[in-house]
Amino acid sequence: MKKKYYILVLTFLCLLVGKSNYAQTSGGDYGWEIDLGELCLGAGCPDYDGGNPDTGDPCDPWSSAFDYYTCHGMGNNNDSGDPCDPFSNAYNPYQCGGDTGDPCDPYSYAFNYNVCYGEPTIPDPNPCSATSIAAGVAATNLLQNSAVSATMSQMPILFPSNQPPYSQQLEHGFNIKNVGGIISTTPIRQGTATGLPSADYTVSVIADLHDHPAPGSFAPSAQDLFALHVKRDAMSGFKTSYVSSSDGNLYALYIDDPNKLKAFVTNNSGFVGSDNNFKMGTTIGDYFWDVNFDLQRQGYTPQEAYTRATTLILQDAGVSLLKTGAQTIDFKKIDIEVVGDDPNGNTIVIINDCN
Amino acid sequence: MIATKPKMKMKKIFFIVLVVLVSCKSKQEILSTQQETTKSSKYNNPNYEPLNKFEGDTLKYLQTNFLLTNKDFYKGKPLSILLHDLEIDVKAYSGSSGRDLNYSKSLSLNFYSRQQKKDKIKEKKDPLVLIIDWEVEIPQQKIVELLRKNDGRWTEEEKKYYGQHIIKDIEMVIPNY
Repeated sequence: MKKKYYILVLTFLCLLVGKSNYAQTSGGDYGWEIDLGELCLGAGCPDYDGGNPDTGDPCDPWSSAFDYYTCHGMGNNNDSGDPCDPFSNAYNPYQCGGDTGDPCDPYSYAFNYNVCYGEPTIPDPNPCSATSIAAGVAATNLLQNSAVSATMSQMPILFPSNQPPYSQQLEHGFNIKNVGGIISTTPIRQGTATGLPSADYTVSVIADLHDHPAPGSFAPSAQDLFALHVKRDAMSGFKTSYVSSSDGNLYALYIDDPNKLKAFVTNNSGFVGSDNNFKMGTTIGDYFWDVNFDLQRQGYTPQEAYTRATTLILQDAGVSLLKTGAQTIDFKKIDIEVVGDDPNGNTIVIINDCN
Repeated sequence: MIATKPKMKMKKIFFIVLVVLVSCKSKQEILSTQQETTKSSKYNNPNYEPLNKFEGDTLKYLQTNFLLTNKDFYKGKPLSILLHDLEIDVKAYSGSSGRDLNYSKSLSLNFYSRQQKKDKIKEKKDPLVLIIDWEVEIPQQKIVELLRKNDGRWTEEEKKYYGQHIIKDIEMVIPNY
């Protein structure tokens, strides 16, 4: 009879083992390589213990009143009074072996961080550098040249993107040449609704201009950046690509650093999508669209977000984005600067334009 | 005669234990088969392989089930089908436009938080981004509305809204490092 009980118990044990082996019905361990966040203790931290009353005890790590120094007797109320204790109010290096006078000695009165380690890195308070101002002046002067402005006046009028007949509009453009200091242009040529084939690019071409008549297409595109590299590679004097936009602005891609531009294109091969935009699926495209999306979350319009995200990519490519109203030509650099990440990992940017 | 009886009894016990052990093993196998069948039939994708088969390799899990040959199963269907199958939480998302910035042509599903993703890129590891191209582009206005309302979080509302749109193609970000 006893043995029958043993058999019964064994049967239950076997069933239990069989069941527990398959208790985890979903793959809960997939995120095992994801790091856990830091545990926050003390004031200003979330209520970890799920709403239990706060003890108010400075020695209770789950309490908002938790304070390590108060609890362990190392706070200001426990001043050692020792002139050699750097944490004491009585600290006086003269009474404790004398001051070294070393600006790199943190215990010396002569300690000076900037003298010892150099100036700390702080954002440039004047984002408009001499190079940026010079780029704006150069782009403005070239477009105000009589030969260029005469050709420019022959360009088709761009309609606001939300009005017809935008669907019938095709891209147009021309090249700007410099032969012995004499500026001239090539005739205006016509492309498709989404592109202008390359033509008339000779060694003397220093700049070109094309328009973006398509609805919803405003600032220079990824394809414009790629084309800038190709033109510069073929013509060493090539410096500026103007884009006339249906939003009423003129933009200019201005090459600051040709080597950086070349390196960017080499390191990001295939970054242009079939729609001329930064291609999703590439590292740079993913970065661009993440920033673009987040700027819209922050309140930027899709157009403004696109333009600003473009400037961020251009920084890596050694190219400045300049902008002017179409009525009064006065190109100024537009830019953003990354100043950090918020707690969610979103990039925090500030506007960094030349005014 | 006296010695045979306990022997018979022992044989009987041994036989019963053997039957119990075999039944335990069969029970395990039945459970296992049942689980796999449930996965496939639940998701309607006969080639779907559950995450726990990949031993923590999320990249392989995503590639196997949503790229390669399996992506054809999801193409032409609403995103909700894929989301229903997906066994990894979406931590962040973004979208891209085509020629017209007023329309969105694709959605990026991120399985790392933005900060984790930045860290992975710094470490030159795969950022695990699944890209969904839409059959019909979505008005950006609605996307921005949701984006601002939920402060960029992937909530049930996003799941429901994007879930109704039809998948044209599926890709993943291929790092350039």
